[in-house]
Amino acid sequence: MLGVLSDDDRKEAEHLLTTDPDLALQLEELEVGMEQYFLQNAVPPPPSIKTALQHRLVGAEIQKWEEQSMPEPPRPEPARSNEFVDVEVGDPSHIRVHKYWRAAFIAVFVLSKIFLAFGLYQYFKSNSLEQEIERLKATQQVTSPLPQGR
Amino acid sequence: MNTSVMNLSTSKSVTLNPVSNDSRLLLYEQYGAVAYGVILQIIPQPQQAQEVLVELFASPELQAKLSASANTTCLIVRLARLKALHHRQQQQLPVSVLPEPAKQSELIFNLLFYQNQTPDAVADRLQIQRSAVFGAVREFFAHILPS
Repeated sequence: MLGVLSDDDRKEAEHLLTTDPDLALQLEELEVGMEQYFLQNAVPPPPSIKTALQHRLVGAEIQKWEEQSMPEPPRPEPARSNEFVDVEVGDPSHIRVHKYWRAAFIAVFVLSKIFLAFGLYQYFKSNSLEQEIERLKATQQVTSPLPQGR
Repeated sequence: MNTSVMNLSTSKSVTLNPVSNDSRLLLYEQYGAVAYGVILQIIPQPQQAQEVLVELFASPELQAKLSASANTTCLIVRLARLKALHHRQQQQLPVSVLPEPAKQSELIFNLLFYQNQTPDAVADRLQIQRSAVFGAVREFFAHILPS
């Protein structure tokens, strides 16, 4: 009843209880005595314990609910024998992209340099052409006779 | 396909179970003092004893054992004792020294129940027969009953 008996003693007591009705009566009396004793020695716990228990029970319920409502993580596909498995290294400051992005980035970089060179060439060319036009206009003004005034 | 959406839509619908919590609180109101009295005899430190008390009434096995037991007081007392002894062992707390009882039957009960000594150890210590140990426990509780 109180958990003080060993397994063997408990089995023996259970066997005796089934065979001896007087013993069962004695046990009932003993149970009443035990209840009386423990009720006499009861100590009311502080009221805060009930609140702590309420919090604990609600917390356990919420945890249980969260565990049940959480989606199951997707099962990883079995890796083939000659295939590498991608392992995510947990550094939030870095991202991992597909290897094709490297070629795309190089192509964009090279094209940007070509366009820059072409743009500069066009700029200097148009600049020099403008200067040439200005020079020709000035030459024409010098060589052509001025109109006769009245 | 968005797997997270798919998983959420197929997850089980669950609800909180306030009935179970209410019954536990009711049980605590009825038997909390009895359990606390037992625990304090094994762990005299009030804060640690209160932790064990909360642990006892929040434990999931309480409901299952309660339905299988005929005497609720004895079950609560037994579980409170087990939890307190386990906590004392886990935290390596010293065995509490109980006041020297006037009767040998009470001493035997204290050694068996609160100090978790085996009947053989008690018999050896007090130089008595093993059967006398159980007799003393019976005598101790019989003395409590009104004649």
